[in-house]
Amino acid sequence: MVSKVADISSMTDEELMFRISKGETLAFDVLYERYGHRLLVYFTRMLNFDKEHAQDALQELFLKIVEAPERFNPSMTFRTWVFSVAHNYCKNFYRRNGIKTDYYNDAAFNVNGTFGDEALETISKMDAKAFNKLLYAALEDLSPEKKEAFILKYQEDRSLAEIAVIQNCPEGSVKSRIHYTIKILESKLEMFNPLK
Amino acid sequence: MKTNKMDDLLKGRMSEKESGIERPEYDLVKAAREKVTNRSTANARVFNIKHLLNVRIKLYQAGIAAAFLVGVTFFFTKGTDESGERKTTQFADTLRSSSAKQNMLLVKNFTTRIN
Repeated sequence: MVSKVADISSMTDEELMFRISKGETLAFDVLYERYGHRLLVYFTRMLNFDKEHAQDALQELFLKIVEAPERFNPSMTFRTWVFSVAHNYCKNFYRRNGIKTDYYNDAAFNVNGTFGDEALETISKMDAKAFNKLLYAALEDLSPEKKEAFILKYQEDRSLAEIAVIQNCPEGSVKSRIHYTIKILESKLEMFNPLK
Repeated sequence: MKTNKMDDLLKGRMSEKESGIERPEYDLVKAAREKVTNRSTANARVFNIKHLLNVRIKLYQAGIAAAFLVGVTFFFTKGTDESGERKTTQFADTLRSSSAKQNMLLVKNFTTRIN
């Protein structure tokens, strides 16, 4: 039994998906252990920090996975595929709630703010809670695409190519979304710049 | 250099640990887990039928089976022909053994019955 758990734990996500399609609950548990928390964090951040809604989304996502594991597209990795499913969930949520996906007057932010090394040093030393509060507030003001690109890059450490697949858009768009988001964040976090 | 520092800072701040969001309970995906278990039962049922259908037969086995079937069919067909042949022979013998007078009587009885 112990060796079986060890065997399954060392399997790739794609192998686990195959096992799930064969009805192996242990494979499901391992996959949930790997992705449950990170997806919950993703949903919480994407769905305006509504924890209950994020949990519902996570529940629905895993139901979708087990109901039709054959939907898994083997041409992409599981981690890219699962986040593209999560991306579609959020997209539908925004559509249902009448939230435009390329909205808000991002241009209203001053995107010229830049940080020097000293300012970055100060920020890195400041209270994490206070910084996070500010960071999340800044994220709330972003369009869902920009927010998602940012989350996937900095929370999930995904490459631009992967984010492009998840968001179903050219890599250049992802690059500009992240660049723009950073500029906005920099301008919002300017108050922490000791040189100003 | 600066971008890397900013990247590192944001990665740190955006990490799962920093989110302060607790790990989700297993109960949250109880329904999904049950579906996996059901899938396993369904697969086991399908497997039995599949197992029967998926029996691998070698060419020589199929040949032997076909030869056997042909043999059996031929045997029974031949038997039926033989019994039919036997009946015809018996009838011919009866006719041959009976006299012309008896035959006429049989024909007469037959005609009366029809009328």
